[in-house]
Amino acid sequence: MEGRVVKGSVILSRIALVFLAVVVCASFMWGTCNAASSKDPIVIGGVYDLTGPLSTHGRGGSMTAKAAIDRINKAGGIAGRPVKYIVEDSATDPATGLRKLRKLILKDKCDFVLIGVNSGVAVGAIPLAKEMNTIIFTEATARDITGKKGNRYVFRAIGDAEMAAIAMARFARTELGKNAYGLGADYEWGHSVIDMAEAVFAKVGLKMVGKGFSPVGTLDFVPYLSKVPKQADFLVAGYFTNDVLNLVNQAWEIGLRKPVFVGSVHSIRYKDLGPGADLVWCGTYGSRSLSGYPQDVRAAQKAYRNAVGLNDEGWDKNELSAEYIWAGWEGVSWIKKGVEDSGWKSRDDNLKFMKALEGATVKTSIDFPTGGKTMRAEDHQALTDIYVLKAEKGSLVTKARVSAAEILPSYPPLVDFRKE
Amino acid sequence: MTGALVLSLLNAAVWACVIAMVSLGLTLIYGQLSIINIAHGAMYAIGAISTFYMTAFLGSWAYSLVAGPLIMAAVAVVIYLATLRYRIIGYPMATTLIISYGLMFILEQTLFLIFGGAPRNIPNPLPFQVPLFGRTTYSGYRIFAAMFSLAIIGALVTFLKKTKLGLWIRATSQDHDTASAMGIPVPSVYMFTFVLGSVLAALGGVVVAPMTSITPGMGHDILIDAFIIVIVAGFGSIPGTILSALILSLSNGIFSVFFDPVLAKGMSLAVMVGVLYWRPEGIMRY
Repeated sequence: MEGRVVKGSVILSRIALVFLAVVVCASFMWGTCNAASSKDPIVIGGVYDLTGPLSTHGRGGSMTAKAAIDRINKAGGIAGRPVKYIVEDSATDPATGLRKLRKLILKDKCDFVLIGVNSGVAVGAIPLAKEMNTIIFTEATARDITGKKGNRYVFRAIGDAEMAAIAMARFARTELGKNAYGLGADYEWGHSVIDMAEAVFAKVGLKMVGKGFSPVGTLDFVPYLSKVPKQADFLVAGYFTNDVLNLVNQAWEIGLRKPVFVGSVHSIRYKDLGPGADLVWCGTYGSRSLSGYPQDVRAAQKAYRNAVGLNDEGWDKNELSAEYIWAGWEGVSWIKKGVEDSGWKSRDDNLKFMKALEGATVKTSIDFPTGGKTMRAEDHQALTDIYVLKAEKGSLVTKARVSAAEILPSYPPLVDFRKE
Repeated sequence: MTGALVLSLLNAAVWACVIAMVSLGLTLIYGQLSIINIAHGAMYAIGAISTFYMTAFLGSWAYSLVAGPLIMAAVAVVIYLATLRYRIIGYPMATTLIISYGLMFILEQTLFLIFGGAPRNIPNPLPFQVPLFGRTTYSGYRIFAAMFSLAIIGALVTFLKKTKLGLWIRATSQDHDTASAMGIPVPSVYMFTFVLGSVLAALGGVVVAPMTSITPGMGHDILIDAFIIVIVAGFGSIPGTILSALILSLSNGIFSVFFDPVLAKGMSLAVMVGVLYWRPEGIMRY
C-alpha cells in the first residue's frame, strides 16, 4: 500500500516537472516572439483632422509627419528599424478622435501616436495615453495640455497659446492700443487663446474689456461683433480658417475698423481676408515665408520645404501654408531622438524614453528646421520661437520673431511631470 | 441698445430671407417626393463653390446667378436619373433618406477634391455700406441678398399658383395616382421638382458666397436650420416655411441683443419648440 503511494507521488512529481518544463518553454517562446526584433517596424500612429473645419491643419500636420517618416526610412530607419505610419481621421470631432486613438493603440499596436492640432482630441487623449502606456506627441496648442491637464506621457513639439499671447502683448502695447476685446471659438483652444491673452495682458498693463465665445463654424458673426464695446482698441480672436475669414469680413461690413489679433492664419490667403485684411495680425509658431526665418535657420528650412513640397512663400500644391504644419515633421524627429538616445526597444522602455527627452536640446538641422530648441523637462513643452505675422502688401508677412529665450522669463512651467 | 437692436433685427431679417429660400427647396422636395434631402446642404455648397469659380475665372459674381443654378440643375438631373427615380414610389422613406445621406458624402468629397479644404472668399460684388447709426454701417450687399431672395420666393409662389406646371406640381403632391390618371406626366413632374428644389439650395449658396467663407462643408449649419424651419412649418407648407424662417431668425436676433448670442440661439430654438408644441402638425397646413 505504502509502495503504491510512493510510486503515485513519483508519477505526480514527474507530471508536474513536465508541466513546469512546458510552461517555461512556452514562456520563453512567448517572450522571444514579443520582444521587438531589430527588424520589426516601429509603428507611429497619427490622429489628425483630415476632414471637417480643421482639415487644413490636419492634412498639413499628417503630410509633414509622413514626409519625415519617408525620409527616415530611406536613411535606414530609427535605430536600424523601419518605421510604419498609420493615420486615422478624427473628422474634427473629439469623440471620433479618441475612438481612432484606441484603435491605433489596441488594434494597430502603435508604439507612439501623433495627435494633430485639435485640442479637444488632445485633452481627451492625455489620460488614455497614460492608461495604455503609449507616448503621444501633440500639435494642439491649448495651454493646459502641458499644464494641469497633462501627464508624463504627453510631449508637445510646438509652442502654445500662452507663448503666442506673450509675443502678442509686446506688439499690442506699441501698435494696437491698451484695451482688447476677446472673441473665441467655444472649445478648449478658443478659450485658451482668450484666457491666456487676458492673463498675459493683465501683467503688462493691457486690459481685456470684455469677451465672448461662439460655436466653431459660426456663419454669422454680426450678433457677436455688435457686442464689441467702443473702448476696445483691438480684438483678440481665438479662431482658425473659415471662422477667421467670416469674422474679419463681417467686422468690416458693419463698420468695425479695429485691428484683429487672430489665433491662426493657417492656409488663409491675404485676398480672402477682404477689404479689412490689413487689420489682421497673428502670433503663430513659424514663419510662412522662408525669408521670415533667421539667416542661420534658412538652409535647414529650405531643405525641409523641399522634402515636403512647400515653396519659399510657404505654400504647397494643395494650398496648405507653412507656418504651423512643421510640428508633424518635428514630432517624428523628437521620437527618433528619444528612441536613439534612450535605447528604446518597446513600450516597456517608455520611462527611459521620457527621461531621455526631458530637458533634451536640439540644434537647427533638417530634423528640426524651425531652429534649435529645448524640450522643457518639467512639462514636456518644446520651447519654440513665436512669429508675429501681419497681413499687408498682399501677403502675410513676418513682422517679428520673439525668441523662446525672450518668452521664457514670463513662461514658467505649471507642473513637473517627473514627480508622477 | 436701440442701435444694437436695429442692427440685429436687420441682420436677422436678411438671414431669414436667405434661409427661407433654401428651406423652400427642402420643403418642395419633401412635399412632392417625400424625400428628406440630407444632401441639400451639399447642394448649397455647390452653388457657393461654383460662384467662387465664376468670379475667379469670369471676373464677375453676376455670372454665377445664372451659372450656379444651371450647374446645380445638371447635377440634380444626373442624381435623379441615376438614383432617386427608382426609389420613390412604393419605397419606405428610409430608403431615400439613406440615398440622400450617401449623396451628401459623395457631393461633399467631390467638392473637397475639386476645391480643397482651405476656406476661400470672394470680393463683395456690391461694396457699399448703408449707414445705420454712429460709425455702425451695414453691408449693402446683404440687403440686396435679402431682396433677391424675396424676389425668388415671390417668383416661386407665382409659378406654383399661376402656371400649368405649378398646378401639376401641386396636384401631384396631393395625389400622384389621380394626377397620373388625369394625364399629368408624374415622373417628369417629380424630376422637375427635385431639380427646382436643388436649384433653390444652390441659389442660396450663390447669394451667401460673398457674405461668408466658402468651404465644401459650409452647408452643414444651414441644413440644420433649414430642417428646423421645415419641421416647424409643417413639411411641405410654403407659407409656413417663410413664417417659420422669420420666427427663428428674428427671435434669435432679438435675444442676441439682450443675452449672449450662444444663449440667444438656444432661446430661439426654445421658441421653435414652443411653436411645435402649440401646432404639432406645423404652423400652416398648406
